[in-house]
Amino acid sequence: MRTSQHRRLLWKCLLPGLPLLAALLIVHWGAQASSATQGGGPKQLENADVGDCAACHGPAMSLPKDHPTTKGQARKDCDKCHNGKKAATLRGKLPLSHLHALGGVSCADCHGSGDKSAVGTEKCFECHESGEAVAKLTVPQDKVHNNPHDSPHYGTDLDCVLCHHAHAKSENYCSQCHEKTQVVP
Amino acid sequence: MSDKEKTSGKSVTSRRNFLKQAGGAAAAMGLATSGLMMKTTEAGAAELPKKWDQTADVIVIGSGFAGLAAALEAKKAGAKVIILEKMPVPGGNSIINGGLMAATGSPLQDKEGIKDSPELMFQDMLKAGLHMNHPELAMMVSDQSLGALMWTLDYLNVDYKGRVTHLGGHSVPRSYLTNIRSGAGIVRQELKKVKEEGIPLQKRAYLEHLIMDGKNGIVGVEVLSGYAFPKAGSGKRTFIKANQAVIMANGGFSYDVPFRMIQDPRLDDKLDCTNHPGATAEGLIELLRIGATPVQPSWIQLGPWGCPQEKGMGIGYIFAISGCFPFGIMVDPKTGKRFVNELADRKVRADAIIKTGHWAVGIADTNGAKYVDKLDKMLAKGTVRQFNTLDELAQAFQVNSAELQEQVKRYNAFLAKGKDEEFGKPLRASSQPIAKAPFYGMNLWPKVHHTMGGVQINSKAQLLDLYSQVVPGLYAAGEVTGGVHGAVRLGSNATTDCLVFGRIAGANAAKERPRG
Ligand SMILES: Cc1cc2nc3c(=O)[nH]c(=O)nc-3n(C[C@H](O)[C@H](O)[C@H](O)COP(=O)(O)OP(=O)(O)OC[C@H]3O[C@@H](n4cnc5c(N)ncnc54)[C@H](O)[C@@H]3O)c2cc1C
Ligand code: HEC
Ligand code: HEC
Ligand code: HEC
Ligand code: HEC
Ligand code: HEC
Ligand code: HEC
Repeated sequence: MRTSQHRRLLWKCLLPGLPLLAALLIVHWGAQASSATQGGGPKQLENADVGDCAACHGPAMSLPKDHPTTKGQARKDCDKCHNGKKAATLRGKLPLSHLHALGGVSCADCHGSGDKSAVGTEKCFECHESGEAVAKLTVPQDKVHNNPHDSPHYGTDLDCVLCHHAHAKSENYCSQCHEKTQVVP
Repeated sequence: MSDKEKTSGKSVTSRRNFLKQAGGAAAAMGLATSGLMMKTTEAGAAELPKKWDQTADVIVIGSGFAGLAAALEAKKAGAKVIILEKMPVPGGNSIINGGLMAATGSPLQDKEGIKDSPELMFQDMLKAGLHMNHPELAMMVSDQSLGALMWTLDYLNVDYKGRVTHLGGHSVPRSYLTNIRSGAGIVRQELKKVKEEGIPLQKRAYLEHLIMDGKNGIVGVEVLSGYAFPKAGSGKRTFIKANQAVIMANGGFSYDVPFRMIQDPRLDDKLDCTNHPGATAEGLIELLRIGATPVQPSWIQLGPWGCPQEKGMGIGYIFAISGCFPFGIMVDPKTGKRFVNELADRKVRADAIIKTGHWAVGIADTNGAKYVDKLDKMLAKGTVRQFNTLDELAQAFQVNSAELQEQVKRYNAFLAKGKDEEFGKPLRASSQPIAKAPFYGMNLWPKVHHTMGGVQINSKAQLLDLYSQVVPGLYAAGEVTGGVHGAVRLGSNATTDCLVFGRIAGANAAKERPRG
């Protein structure tokens, strides 16, 4: 299943009405989230070149079949074709850990050296400053969208990982109650 | 298999068992987030733990208006308090609410010379509530409404708009509205105080069981900490001891499809819900399990102003309540005709729409639409659509066009006479005929909004069991309780109810004699 569809379905099942699908998806999601960090799926080779998808993913295709090679490339190289926020965006198509890696942020930049444990909002603020600061980056340009980083309900106080997942599909918490929400990188 | 997989596997098993027991109908319901599905242990299994993981004087379940008010009062009275919230964000329904709060004798009423009294508010509550209200509870809310409002002003420093609003069913304008038009205007100030007071608020902490110890009553709670909503059974089982009391401020159950269908079988998954998704019944079920008395749980309020193309509350409701209902009409697309007084109470209107069996169409012309806040945003989203003629509107919404035009003609004639001969809608003198293009249309289908019923408490917010005895060490406040509103809750009275009884529960819980 394409991942964007997957996310839409996940949120749908938070609404009443798709019970069996919900049950299945929740199991599937749980399984997916854990395989991300607990083997079985792609490997977490810390020193691999992020452009060398096969190094961690193995021969299983992680890119469309006739995709140009990405070895040795960084985010700015991808963005020649996958430009920013537009249709061809990489947002929502790659986990946030990958987007960071492509931008030169390593595992250790978030996790420190040694054992990996969950990363909290304070860590994000070491590089992204504050809730107010990220809210300034995402002021909506049209009438229908809201700013995900600044709502009447939660102000700028939400934990980043509520929406941005480093190793699983990110999700938009606002989508539970609002349509017209943005893809979360 | 990872731990996560194991727990989700378990939830599927229990879901299957439920399907077997409840039969085919249950399969059509939204089981994923039901309180009925949440139990991973057998009823009655809550036993005294060998060891408590944590201790507090007062444990508050839920971080909405009621829970936060309770926590602040208990703390003020000297108790060591903790708040447990199952969701990853605080605030429940309170933080997404419309920001309206009723009070009598308020500074704004004084300023505008509006005469009001607790007695008048009490009478309004009884009238709307079909006199099914528990009078001592309703009276407590009306008596204490000013105290609660002043607490939000003086202690919480909440910002309100400069005028009181007049809502349906209230005899006089008495509703304050927060500046940001959201209950968050109050909850965020409560949260700020909670932080200042150093009261720990644990998110992702799911109350699974109340722990009872004979005549000592409720002595603690069994909680899943690190709970990942809506994954049944996720998180780590933890036991927390309450030296003085547990306060249940866990909100209503509008989002719980299977449980609400047990109370009112019409409320199936075809009806959307305005609530936050955590508004499920497991906390109420746990209270019933330990012997609480249910009060009117089948009185569940639907909002007739819901737009089916939007999720939840949305913003289309503003078009309905400030444009279409007072100044326009609502028709059944099949007949092209009106079918109910558009200004009847919420229950009458919602029941009438459901009875037609399909989405209604709300219509207003330019004169009606000029009162609608955020119309721009609704048009941009496509919630409300704009047309040059009534015929175009009829085509787009598949309404019988000839009948619709006849209906509008009849309605305009009623306006001229000042009397709605079809449904007795009170017509405003200022209303103009529906004639001025462009015309605006929106689909309407009721949404489940509020659960008036819940558990029985006394006016000290103590929980009463099936024999009308106080359950020692247990309080409840807010939407989880029943009786205050009777059959129908008036707009803006829930905020008041939650703050009044939340504060009462907190103050009284902190007075309980500590148990060893
Ligand atoms: C969209 C909307 C608009 C509204 N507008 C208004 C208005 O303008 N004026 C008005 O008076 N009323 C309004 N209401 C009604 C009012 O907001 C609610 O009745 C009120 O917020 C209930 O407050 P509460 O504290 O009882 O519960 P909530 O605010 O819902 O808080 C209960 C909390 O308990 C948590 N919880 C539940 N079960 C558990 C568990 N097992 N373990 C741990 N935690 C648990 C929930 O996650 C939730 O956060 C509105 C309601 C909605 C949905
Ligand atoms: C020369 C242009 C080009 C470059 C450079 C490029 N891509 Fe692509 N990429 C494409 C095209 C074309 C597609 C197919 C788009 C589609 O199917 O919608 C694609 C698809 C993808 C997809 C699948 C998207 C989906 O919708 O599922 C991923 C993931 C991806 N690219 C990652 C990358 C990464 C990472 C880089 C940089 C390391 C990169 N690409 C560099 C052209 C490029
Ligand atoms: C942008 C910051 C960031 C980067 C970069 C990052 N992670 Fe993470 N990591 C997180 C967060 C946040 C979590 C918690 C799970 C979540 O919310 O997605 C996490 C969780 C983990 C966990 C599970 C820990 C636990 O106890 O749950 C492992 C293992 C892990 N990361 C490994 C890695 C590796 C290996 C890399 C480099 C390839 C990496 N991470 C890069 C933020 C990051
Ligand atoms: C060590 C510094 C660092 C830390 C820690 C860090 N980030 Fe970043 N983040 C960056 C940089 C640098 C970029 C820009 C990458 C680029 O432009 O390619 C970025 C980009 C992002 C983006 C935009 C991605 C895109 O491609 O659109 C998001 C979202 C983001 N970070 C979220 C987070 C969250 C959430 C955390 C905490 C879990 C976090 N970051 C922690 C440095 C960091
Ligand atoms: C409610 C969900 C949500 C939360 C919580 C959230 N984000 Fe975001 N974030 C988004 C969405 C959606 C976007 C994409 C916005 C867009 O496309 O305009 C985004 C984009 C970003 C970006 C890229 C901004 C850019 O330049 O386009 C950064 C950086 C970022 N988030 C960081 C954070 C940090 C740091 C936190 C925690 C303080 C955080 N986010 C919390 C949903 C969220
Ligand atoms: C350092 C090892 C590593 C490299 C290199 C790597 N990945 Fe991944 N990838 C992972 C891991 C591990 C996961 C599971 C999620 C996580 O932990 O971030 C993953 C998850 C994904 C996912 C989402 C899960 C899925 O299968 O749908 C996509 C898409 C993906 N990778 C694409 C790529 C692409 C494209 C490249 C090359 C540009 C790449 N990855 C390079 C380790 C890697
Ligand atoms: C649990 C449901 C829920 C969630 C989650 C939620 N909202 Fe809302 N939101 C509402 C409700 C209900 C309203 C009230 C509509 C009104 O009264 O105007 C609202 C109103 C708003 C408004 C003002 C009305 C408008 O559309 O202009 C904004 C802006 C908004 N929300 C943004 C957000 C953002 C951003 C998020 C995610 C961080 C979010 N909301 C999450 C339910 C929710």
